[in-house]
Amino acid sequence: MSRSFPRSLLLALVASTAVALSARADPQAQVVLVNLDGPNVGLNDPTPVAPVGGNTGTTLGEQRRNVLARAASLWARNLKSFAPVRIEVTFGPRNCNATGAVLASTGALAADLNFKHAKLPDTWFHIAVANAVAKTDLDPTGDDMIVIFNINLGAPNCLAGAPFYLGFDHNEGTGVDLLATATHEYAHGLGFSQLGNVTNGTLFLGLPDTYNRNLAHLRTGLTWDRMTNAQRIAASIDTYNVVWIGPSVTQAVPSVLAFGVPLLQVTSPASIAGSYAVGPAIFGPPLSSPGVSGQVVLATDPADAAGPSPTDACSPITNAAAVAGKIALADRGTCGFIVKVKNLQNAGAIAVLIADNVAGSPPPGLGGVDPTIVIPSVRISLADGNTLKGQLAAGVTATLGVDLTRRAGASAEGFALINAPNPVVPGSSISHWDPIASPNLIMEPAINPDLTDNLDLTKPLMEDIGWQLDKSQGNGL
Amino acid sequence: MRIPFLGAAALLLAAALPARAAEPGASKLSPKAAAAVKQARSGSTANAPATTGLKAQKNDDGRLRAPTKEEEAALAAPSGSAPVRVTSVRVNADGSVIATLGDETMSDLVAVKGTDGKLTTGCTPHNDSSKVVEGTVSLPASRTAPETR
Repeated sequence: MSRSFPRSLLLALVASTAVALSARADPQAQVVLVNLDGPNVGLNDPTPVAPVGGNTGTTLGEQRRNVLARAASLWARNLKSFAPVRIEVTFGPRNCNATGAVLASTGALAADLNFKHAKLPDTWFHIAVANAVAKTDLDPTGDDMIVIFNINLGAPNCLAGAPFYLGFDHNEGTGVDLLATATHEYAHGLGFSQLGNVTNGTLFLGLPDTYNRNLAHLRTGLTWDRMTNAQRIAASIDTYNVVWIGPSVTQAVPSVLAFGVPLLQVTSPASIAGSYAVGPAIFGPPLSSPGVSGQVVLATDPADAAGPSPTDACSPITNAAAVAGKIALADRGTCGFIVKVKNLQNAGAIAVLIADNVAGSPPPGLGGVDPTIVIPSVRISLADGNTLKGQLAAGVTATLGVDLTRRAGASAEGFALINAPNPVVPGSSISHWDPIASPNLIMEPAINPDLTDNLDLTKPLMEDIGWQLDKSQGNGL
Repeated sequence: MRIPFLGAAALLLAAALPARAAEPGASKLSPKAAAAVKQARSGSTANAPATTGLKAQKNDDGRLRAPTKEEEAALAAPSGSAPVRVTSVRVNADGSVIATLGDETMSDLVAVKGTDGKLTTGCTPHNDSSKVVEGTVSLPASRTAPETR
């Protein structure tokens, strides 16, 4: 039965509701998925499918919808807002070929400045968080973000054999986990991205956003909004020196990130003593604590068809007597990493440093498979390799291992590290956690295969940029 | 009278719409917000050089006006391709500003298959992702599937 209220009473109700609004606790956010797909395609594809990984949808379209809804639910249960979060979703054609594909394209559709209740003046907020802060929908006619998923993924000539996995259990095998992908993409639209330009250092329309106001550069002590464009350009490539200083994330770091940072600690000569970043190998034993200590020796081998450089370790080592019992140093190039490390192991090395042959940081890891390798090995940067080589005559001693006093993904001061690779990677730099984090985080630049429904440091980051959280939900479903 | 849509006459303008001063919230803009609005309307958003700009329509009498949302979308969408969004700003009566974000703020999550068959994923700007897919630009090496040589 419906009842009609006298107009005056209705106005009074509206007025009292408005007054009460500011005192009432914000409700759990409602995330609305706006299906942009037409009949029988994408999210409405009627192709029958079997249940997979807890997804009981009976058609391809239904399973896709279920996954996107589950990712939306993950965020909805953890965020509070009076305004619905409206996400436009569609499966459409994206760039792809046999070896590469755009998995998804994402963006916030709007950003707001100086709206009601905005705590930071002259600061952009992604529209979804702006709505939450304002306690109203600031643009009721517009949606908040759009995510376009690749409809052809896994088809011939579009990363064949690597389709979206539609289960809920993150058991994607050789496919791509749609649940983790959607959770990652939604986070960008909810505010986990800066609107500025990392290549030229400019802020979006000259003003900071609520994300980059939480960024600081350790070397200069400046927050992002107080830097010049030139300083932001320099900071964006200063690996391990850009941090998130928001209080919620900083408080959560000890409960999320594990102790143990892999590094090379040079102890002498004093002129180059200190910590050097390393990229551990995925073969051989993992780095340990207290690690392997010894003198660093440059290995030599014939410049031959296997490798034209006398220091590429692509052939059997010629100064094995000098290398035996030492930490061997060799250069990247020509042959695979496992070939080099095996040659150095055969020469008696106790550990291996492979100096990169291209500039950049942090040094990536070493890939390959060889179960017969039993010594630890890492990559170091080209610059660090040159530093070591310059002092070998004076005698370089070092320890290769794991620093158990520091958390992987946090600075020595305890701030979460932000991705700042050199050279800069637009779209990745600054708008993700540093990939050194352990365990892996949902907002690292890559979708790692060990991700779960845990929202890790990303949930408290949402609080730092303005969202209110439902902290009764833990960090996941 | 419905003003005819003159797609062919559409112009990308740089700071050519002083009529915007009549926006009710313009007087309430903070100095910094006013500068941001001016920058957006000058088409000089440094992070959106190629696609950012203010579009305008020409009325029957030849005067310029701002396009409607629908006209803007139609202008931005070449026939048969996905619409291209452009950054634009709107000043509200209370002095707040809403920026409609253009494609230059979008990012693409890209996957590349290595010689070992393992996928490396990474985020790239939407406008650059085709270079990664085509292999002319590399994704940063993955920690879980690093290079083998």
